[in-house]
Amino acid sequence: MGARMIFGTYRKRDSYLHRIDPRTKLLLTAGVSIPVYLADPAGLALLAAIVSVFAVAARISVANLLRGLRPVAPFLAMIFLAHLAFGNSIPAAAIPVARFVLLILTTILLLHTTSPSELKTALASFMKPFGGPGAEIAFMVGVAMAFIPGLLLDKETIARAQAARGYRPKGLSGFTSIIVPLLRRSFRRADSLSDALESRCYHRDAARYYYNRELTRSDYLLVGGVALILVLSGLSVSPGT
Amino acid sequence: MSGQTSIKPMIYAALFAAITAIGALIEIPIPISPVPLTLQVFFVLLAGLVLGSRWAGTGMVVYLLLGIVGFPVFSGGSSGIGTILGPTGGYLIGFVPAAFVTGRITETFGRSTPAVVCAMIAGLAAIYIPGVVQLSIVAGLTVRESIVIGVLPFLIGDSVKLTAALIVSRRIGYVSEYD
Repeated sequence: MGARMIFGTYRKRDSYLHRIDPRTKLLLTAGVSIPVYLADPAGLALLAAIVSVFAVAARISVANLLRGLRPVAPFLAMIFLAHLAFGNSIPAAAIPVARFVLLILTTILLLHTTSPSELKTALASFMKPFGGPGAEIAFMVGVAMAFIPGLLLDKETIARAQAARGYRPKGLSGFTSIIVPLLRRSFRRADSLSDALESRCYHRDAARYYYNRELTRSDYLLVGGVALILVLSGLSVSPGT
Repeated sequence: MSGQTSIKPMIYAALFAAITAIGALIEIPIPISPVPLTLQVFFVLLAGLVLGSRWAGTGMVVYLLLGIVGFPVFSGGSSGIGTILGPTGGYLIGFVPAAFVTGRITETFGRSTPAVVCAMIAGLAAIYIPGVVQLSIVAGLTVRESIVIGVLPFLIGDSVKLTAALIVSRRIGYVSEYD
């Protein structure tokens, strides 16, 4: 669990999708969700075909795609069964599930081919129009990322220290006996980090620089190409299906 | 959170975003629903109580962004913009107003136990309202059907989380007192 949390699903590789600018990929992933929600079954099939082409271009195995769907599988099953239980037909139950599966698959493509730090940079550049508050939030995302591994470690340490003293956590008091020391310890981490930043004259309003690469022709080609296909799939759109 | 320092509340808000993310990984299976109980809601309410409206709300925005940039921080280790736009995304979006509202009510009405409990119930409502609306739209269910699968199975667990948040917030105090 810990390792998965720290490393995410990103795999460093060289593929067409890996080389595309993270901003382009983030924008496309968000953009694709609109036709995914509006398309009729034929449109959905077309979108599924596009996603498959990109999966091949990203060199992602089918096993990896399925693994990404696993966390949401119980909820998908629940929606499907709820539709049947409330007296809807099987196609009416399957279509919303198919939409969500497609949505998750596009996200998996993004996360497999783009590292968290690339995505953070992309996010920061999208935050630029929001000025100071935007930069502040982007900075906080970075701080939160840095906290996660330490917090996981603390949680393990506390649980083991208590186990070593013969304590077996049970019920609500068992829960608070882990959470309270974890929070106290993490507050100390937060205090020392803010002291360190302040003593180095960090200031909220000061400008920060993120490494950004230039958008290339292949970025524009990709956005244009996908937009064209989406418009084509939009021709068969009939909202509400 | 007095005006002495400006960086500390930011760091604490980021910390609560990280803790909420970890809360999503601690799963407690419940028999009636395929969706397990997670601790995110507990930390959302706690953030409201401990950080106050502004920074608790900001912390939850940071939490959502952590998920968007690909950390597996949503329930069950899912992540990405797809999860936020999907059937369960409304609950996640609701975390922001929930933390804010919980903080706001305690700021206005003080930290007596009834005020804190009311603040957290209002916070829960702020999670469920967008949650049910998005679930019914995205999953193509009626509002009543969405409430049956998306609210009722969680109410018992939520009351436990609410109690836990009350106890823990009393024991750790409030961030303003750490200055």
